Amino acid sequence: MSRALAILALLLPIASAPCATINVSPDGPISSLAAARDAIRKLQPLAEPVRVIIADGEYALTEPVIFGPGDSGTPEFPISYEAAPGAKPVFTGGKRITGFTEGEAGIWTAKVPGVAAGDWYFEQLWVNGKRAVRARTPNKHYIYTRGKVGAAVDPKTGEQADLTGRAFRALPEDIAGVPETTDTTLVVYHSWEAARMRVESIDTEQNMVVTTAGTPWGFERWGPSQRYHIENYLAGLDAPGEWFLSRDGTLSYMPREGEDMTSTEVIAPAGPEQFVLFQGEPEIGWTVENITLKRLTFSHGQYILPPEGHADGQAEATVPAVIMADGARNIAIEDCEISHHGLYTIWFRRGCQNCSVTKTLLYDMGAGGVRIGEGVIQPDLANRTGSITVDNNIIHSGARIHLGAHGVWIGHSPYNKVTHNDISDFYYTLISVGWRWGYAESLAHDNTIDFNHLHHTGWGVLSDMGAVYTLGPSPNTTVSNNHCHHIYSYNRYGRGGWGFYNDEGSSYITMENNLVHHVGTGTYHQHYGRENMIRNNILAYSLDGQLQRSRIEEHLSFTYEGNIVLWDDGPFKTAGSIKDDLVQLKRNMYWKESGPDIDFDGMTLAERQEKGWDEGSVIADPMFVDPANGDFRFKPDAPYEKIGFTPFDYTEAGVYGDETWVNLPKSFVFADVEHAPDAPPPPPFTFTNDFEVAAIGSGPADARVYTENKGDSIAVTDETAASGAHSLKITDAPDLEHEYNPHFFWSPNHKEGVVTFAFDIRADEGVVMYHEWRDNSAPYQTGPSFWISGGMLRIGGQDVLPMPTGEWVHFEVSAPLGEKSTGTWDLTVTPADGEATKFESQPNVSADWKTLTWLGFSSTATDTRAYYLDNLDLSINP
Amino acid sequence: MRLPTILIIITLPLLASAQGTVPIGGGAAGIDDLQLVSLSGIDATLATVDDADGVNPALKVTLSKTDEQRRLLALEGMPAQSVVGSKAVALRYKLDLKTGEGRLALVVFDEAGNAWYKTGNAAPADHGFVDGRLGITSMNKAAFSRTEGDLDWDALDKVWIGIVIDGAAEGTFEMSGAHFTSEAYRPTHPLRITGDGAGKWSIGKDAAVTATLTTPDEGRDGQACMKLEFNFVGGRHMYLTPTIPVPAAELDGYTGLQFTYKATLPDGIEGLLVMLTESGGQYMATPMPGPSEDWVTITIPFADFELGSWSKDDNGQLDLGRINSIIIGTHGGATGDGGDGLIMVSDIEFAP
Repeated sequence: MSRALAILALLLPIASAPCATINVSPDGPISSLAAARDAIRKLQPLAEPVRVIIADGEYALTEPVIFGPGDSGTPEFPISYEAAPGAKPVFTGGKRITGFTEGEAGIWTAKVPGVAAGDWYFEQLWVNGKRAVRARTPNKHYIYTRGKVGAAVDPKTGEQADLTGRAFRALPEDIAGVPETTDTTLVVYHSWEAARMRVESIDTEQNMVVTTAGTPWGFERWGPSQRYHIENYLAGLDAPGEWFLSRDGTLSYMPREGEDMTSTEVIAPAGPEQFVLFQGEPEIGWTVENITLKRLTFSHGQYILPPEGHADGQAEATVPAVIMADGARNIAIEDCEISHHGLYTIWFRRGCQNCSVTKTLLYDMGAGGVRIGEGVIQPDLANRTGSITVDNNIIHSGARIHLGAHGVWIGHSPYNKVTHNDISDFYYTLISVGWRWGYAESLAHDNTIDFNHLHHTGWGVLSDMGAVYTLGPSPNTTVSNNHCHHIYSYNRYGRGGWGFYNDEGSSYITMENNLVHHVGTGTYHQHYGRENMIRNNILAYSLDGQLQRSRIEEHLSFTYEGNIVLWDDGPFKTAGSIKDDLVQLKRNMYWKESGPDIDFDGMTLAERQEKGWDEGSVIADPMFVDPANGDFRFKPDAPYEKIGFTPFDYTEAGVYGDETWVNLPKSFVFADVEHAPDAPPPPPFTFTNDFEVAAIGSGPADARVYTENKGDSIAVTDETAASGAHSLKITDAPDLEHEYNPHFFWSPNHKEGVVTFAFDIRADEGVVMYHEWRDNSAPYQTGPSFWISGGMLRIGGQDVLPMPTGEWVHFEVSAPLGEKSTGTWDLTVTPADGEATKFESQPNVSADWKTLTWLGFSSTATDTRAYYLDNLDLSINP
Repeated sequence: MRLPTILIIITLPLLASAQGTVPIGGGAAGIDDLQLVSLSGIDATLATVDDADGVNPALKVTLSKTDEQRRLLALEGMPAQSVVGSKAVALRYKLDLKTGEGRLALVVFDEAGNAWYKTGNAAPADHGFVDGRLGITSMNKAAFSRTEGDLDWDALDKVWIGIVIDGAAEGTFEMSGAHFTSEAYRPTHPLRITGDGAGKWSIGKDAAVTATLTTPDEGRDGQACMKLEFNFVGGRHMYLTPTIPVPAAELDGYTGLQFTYKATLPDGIEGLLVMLTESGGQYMATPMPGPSEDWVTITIPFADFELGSWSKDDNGQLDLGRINSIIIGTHGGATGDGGDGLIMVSDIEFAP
């Protein structure tokens, strides 16, 4: 029988429900999704619905299955690709690896001929269905960078180059024995992202590691001692569950407890990175439509780190998905299971409308769950995505390769519904809505983020996150009836693990009837935004403050009304300010379990209410049944009516349906968060900088710079210089939020010896500035400190020397540290062509100051003033 | 149901073409045997009209479309002769829509099922029969195509010609001639981007820039213009990028970007940042147009646009068919304490 006749024979008319049926089975004439698709093409244009019934079994995926516009169904005659009743067809890109033999040190090996031949390579491995760990050092937590690298010889070219974004200093013992090969991978942790970088070279003489390409965040951007770990080298294979693949085809694995390598299933990805692509052309109205994938399982996707590594600015925004749609309409993914891959899972990207993901299990993902829309506003309306439904899904254990990925991400896209999902076990934000930093146009409006169970994320790994995170204006967006808990961030750089996080420009969002508890740095944080409504929520047990409002603006920030706020100890506020009329707190119930003496930003509740703030709020025990253990039902006689609180059933959050489905996320086991030990102190460093090689407009190298972008700036200039052509200009401006801005500082980390810091300064008229040396204790202790104000040099509150306006003056500050500390410091001031004036044995500001970890300059003028620095030289004598 | 492609090929009469033209369908006019393609979202019927334009027969599609989404209406054919060497598709057509808007569209397929497409500029409505052309020297490859290269015209398998319709629509589309032609497409009129007003602008800027964008009637002749008043602080690099979208358009045959402007810039700012943004990257006019206190009209050849050093583009060349926005702003480091600036722009067009 010809193949065409065989296909026709498979089109079985069903009298009771007119439709064409195509049967797919592993050993039948149609044995793949692509073959079924091609068979349907012969039926176009359709005269009846088409059901592709897929028998139980395993189907090898060797390339993505692509559906184009010509593969569409119609509203009247849709197409479904679905599992046969009771069957679980699995489409897999995986290949089993067998033949393991036991070697030394508990390591088993198998030969993979395809790898030895150079035809195959893989960077993921699953053993008994569980993702194995690429051999890494350290096995837990991190090692730390030991300094930046600026200009150095690029090992790629042999030429001098700026390696700031590609290289760092390391401890010798951290890089000893690490192979100098591009297969060696660094995972470098930033604040809200992590980069995966390939090693270009390891210079053990200079203790310098150079990667093949840079990252958006460079090294030590957030401060010294940046975290990283090293992956994929044989010597790092020293813990159960770790593996290493040599280019000679030897696969090494150390079994976990209970794994018998003679019978264990070991699978490596051998197929495509992506499973299914829906590829329409919305630009010409030629879309792929009316297709449903139902009860299908996709697993084992390939992922190979590109030669330049991978790093994103935020959200792993450039990582594609294993199921990806452009120009799609009415595409439904229903009751499917998608797992074990290296990318995002589903992305309705460009020009998609009215598509859905429902009752689908997504887990063990290289990146995240579902993405909707793009990070740009497409000028052509047909290229915009919206009206996507993500309902009743379990999205679990993501970001296994790309740590900054989300459970659900919505870019410039409106009218989407993300409801009743259970999302857990990531390292960053679980649901992110919006992609606009500030108040400019955003398409992320009218989104519904309701009834989701969002829990267990962060794990102390990344920072600056929330269970729900928003960006930009989002009118008519709701974040309501969600249950969020166990959100814990890494708090050293860009700290913050909040329940809800309205980041830059978030506006007009309503968040109500949510239960948020057991988080790190506040149940709610607004960086800056406008007129958000936080109402009728239960907000409990944040470790470090309950509420944060980071920026005061000239409009109402948010209304925080009718909430019950419960915590065990500490102040109410995490950071920022709530002492003005542009944030409205009212009718809330506060209860601190350790006692009613609550610190509301330095005030009592009564004092706030005297100022008209927190009207109707009370301090009272809300009387939950067992809140510390997650039972937030009210006891009889609970006083919630005092604030007009309306009880809600937080158990409605999460998935719904049959018992097996509902119980699945309850079976997940979550360990306690194990925060990394404190990072080691950075190594001491010295520097000189005459700014001659620095670009105009750049900042001071190696320093942390703080400006408010309101006319203030710190930048290299060619307007004047003490020598050469360049200097550093510090420009102050009126109406800054913080008087101490602009300011900048280095972290030299000197604890012993005699430190000397010399520099030239030119202060224009009206400058008010100070220079200080501090330690990093809390509160910090200060050693040397002087001001220039009103044309005078001021030490210890006394004017000690006139300062010539608009002329360069040389300063030299010196102080003994540690055991050599005398409690004093010396200063020599030398005007150009003038006599040196010495100020010896000036008392340190703080008697206990002995270490130099903060060396900085601040401008505290209140209008537009400028001063200049040049010829900086920090040195130390033991 | 449309006929199988093989049948079309067999039944097409092998007519000798006029010099440099190849009929897309049968007959000298190239419309015989064209078949209506069944595509979603449009109810359409095909009929033949004997003397549609008073002389020649035509195909007439009566269409109805209820949703707002963009949809494609196409007629399928296959030239009986080789079209290698052709540079455009020439159509004689009439579009009469009571509602909605239409643009000419062309989709071609190779034997492997790969497809390339091209769309034209907005079709004139209620103008009787007109001649329309679509250049085919730079076509967009459909996303689902699995070939790396451009279309091999020797492997041409079928051709769709028709219209792309935006919005709910009802009306007729008639065609009395359809040919491939070796005569290159030459637009005769500028393609206006700002329409009758100043255009719809959005603004991107460095956080430290203060800027106000308005669209007053303060153009050279009192017409609407984009007016951007701003301040740069000194001593650091800053940017200001007002952006106007470019609708999907046929730009083959156009030679450059033209607009009228005047601009005063803070000290140290060299000139205007003029960029064409395509889906792959951003292309910047080099050199930058300088400031001008008086209104001036400038035409910048496409050849003067260079890929920005910060931008990535897969093929590294400006693809006219993929331009989706125009930026006319400025950037740079203002000297001293910085200062105020003013940019006014009107009458943005692509010049033929």
